[in-house]
Amino acid sequence: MKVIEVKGITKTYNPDKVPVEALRGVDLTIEAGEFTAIVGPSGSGKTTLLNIIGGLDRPTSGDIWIGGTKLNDMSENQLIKFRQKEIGFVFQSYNLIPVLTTAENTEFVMLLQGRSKSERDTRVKELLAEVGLSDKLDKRPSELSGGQQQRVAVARALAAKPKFILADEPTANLDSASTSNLLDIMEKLNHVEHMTFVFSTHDQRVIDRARRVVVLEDGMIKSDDRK
Amino acid sequence: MVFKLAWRNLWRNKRRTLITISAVAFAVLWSAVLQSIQTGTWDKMIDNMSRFYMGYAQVHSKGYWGEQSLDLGFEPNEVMSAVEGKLPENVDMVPRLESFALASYGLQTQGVLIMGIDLEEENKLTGIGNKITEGTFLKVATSSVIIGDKLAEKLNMAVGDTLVLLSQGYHGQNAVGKYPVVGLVHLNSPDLNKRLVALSLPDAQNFFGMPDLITTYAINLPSKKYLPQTMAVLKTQLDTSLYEVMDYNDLIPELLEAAKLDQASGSLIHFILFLLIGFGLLGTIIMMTKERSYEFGVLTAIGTERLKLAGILWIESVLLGVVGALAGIALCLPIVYYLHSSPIQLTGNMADQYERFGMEAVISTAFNPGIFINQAIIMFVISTVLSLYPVIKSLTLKPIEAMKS
Repeated sequence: MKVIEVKGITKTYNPDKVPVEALRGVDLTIEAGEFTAIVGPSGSGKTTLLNIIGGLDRPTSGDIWIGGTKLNDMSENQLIKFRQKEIGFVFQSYNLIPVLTTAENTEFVMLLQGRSKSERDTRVKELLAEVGLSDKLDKRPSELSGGQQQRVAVARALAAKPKFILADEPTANLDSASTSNLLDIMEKLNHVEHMTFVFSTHDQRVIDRARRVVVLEDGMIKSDDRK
Repeated sequence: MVFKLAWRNLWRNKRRTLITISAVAFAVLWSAVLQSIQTGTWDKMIDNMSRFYMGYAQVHSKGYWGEQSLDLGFEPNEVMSAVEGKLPENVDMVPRLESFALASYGLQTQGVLIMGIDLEEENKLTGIGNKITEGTFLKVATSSVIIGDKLAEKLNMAVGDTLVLLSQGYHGQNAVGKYPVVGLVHLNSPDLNKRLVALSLPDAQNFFGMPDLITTYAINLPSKKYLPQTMAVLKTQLDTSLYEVMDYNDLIPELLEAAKLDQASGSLIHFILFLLIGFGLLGTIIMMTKERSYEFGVLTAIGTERLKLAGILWIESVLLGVVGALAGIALCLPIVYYLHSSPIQLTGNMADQYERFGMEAVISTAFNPGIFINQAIIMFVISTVLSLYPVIKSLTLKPIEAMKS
């Protein structure tokens, strides 16, 4: 089943001044349950592609469908609602809400979705157990290591029960042990819960574990290999 | 969660938040204390005038208040019988005969207010008998007077001296008399202290040549809350083509106007104060918004509706203002209460200045919840208006641009 489908995506920044073509006709389909790394040198368009897939940015041309829903025509507010329900985000610098605890950060998106307190509590405990942070429920981000914060970010991304998780350079700020631990968790979620993951990364450790590697160069897909 | 988030966000930069809250608290403290003093001073003056001199209401012959002519004196029994048993309990009608005269002692002459009073009833209204600072109170028909202590000072008189009074009596008669001063009185109105000559009602009627007539019924109420009911009874029971019934708003309009004018000028000071505080608050709000623009991008990226984000930012701004206002109110309550229960008696030049303007030389405050509630409302409105900046920013926020900034 297609979770993500992009067709003929282009993205040009500053079209009226000094145009920069970040994406030049990208076609990509991601099936449910894939564990995909989008790789490429800096400036190749990885983050731009992820932003467009995540509904954070709009393409200059081309179409994008998520789970069969076309994003192109959605308003900004519709996109926010869509992201809240369908997409989980993991950012390079974790981006947890600093004033909320681990449990509250994980709960936050469910709260936005209007889930009941009991449902939220149960899911928070489950998720934080899955990422190995059951003993850190009441800690604030500043009291956690980088690896732990990123695991909370993964739990937060999963909390909304999204169709897939977009992770932009999720291991860029982590040491080897934390990277390995995070990848173990993501792989487990992918295998056990069939959660679809799409990463942008330069990290060889991530690339090695990915089952599909899409290489972008100069805004175009140079190769797309499944292992 | 929204409130919790807003509250915790406020304390991310404790020092800045404390400084801002302190600034707001100080402004509210200053503003509430000033307003309480201003309102208290005017209230006291109006209350002194109405409770201890005018009464909260008066009855005269029609046209008397405009002309102040003795020829418009009236028979008190007529009025009394019309309202007897119909007024609320403990409401008294205090008869007076009031006019003006020249008072002379030695080489000094002074225009004075002559007040012929029913000793018992007057005492209930003004407590004049308890305000004798020297000598004794009046006795009925002893042809003696008591005078304001400041008037005695001005005329260089003492108890036992004789005052000569010269005036025009009923229907143009000459009114002349010599009266020994049996006591000096100090009332709460500096103006009255400078010009009051009081004598018993029969003596005044005799002096003005108008036996059995009075010019005024001052209405003595146990409290202001009885005024509407009392006015209603007086207006319905008395023939309004013959009598005029006036409450203190009609009797002392100049004083009420002056109070309003003074309060308006006070409002200008409060406005400037709040304007300054508003700018301080705006500075903090702009900083709080600018430094978190990346975070707002992340919040909308993960699905926080912009309206909800705007709500969080509005609550933060309002909390900043309202917490400051509540802190200010908490600080000023004991000060205002203390000044209310123990007014400061001014002395020296300051007291002279007050009395020159006809005000009692006392700093007292109004302990009026409305003043404190107003401060909180003003800060709520100011912080709500200032929150428009982050609210508009959040409502037009594009996550990718915010995260890039």
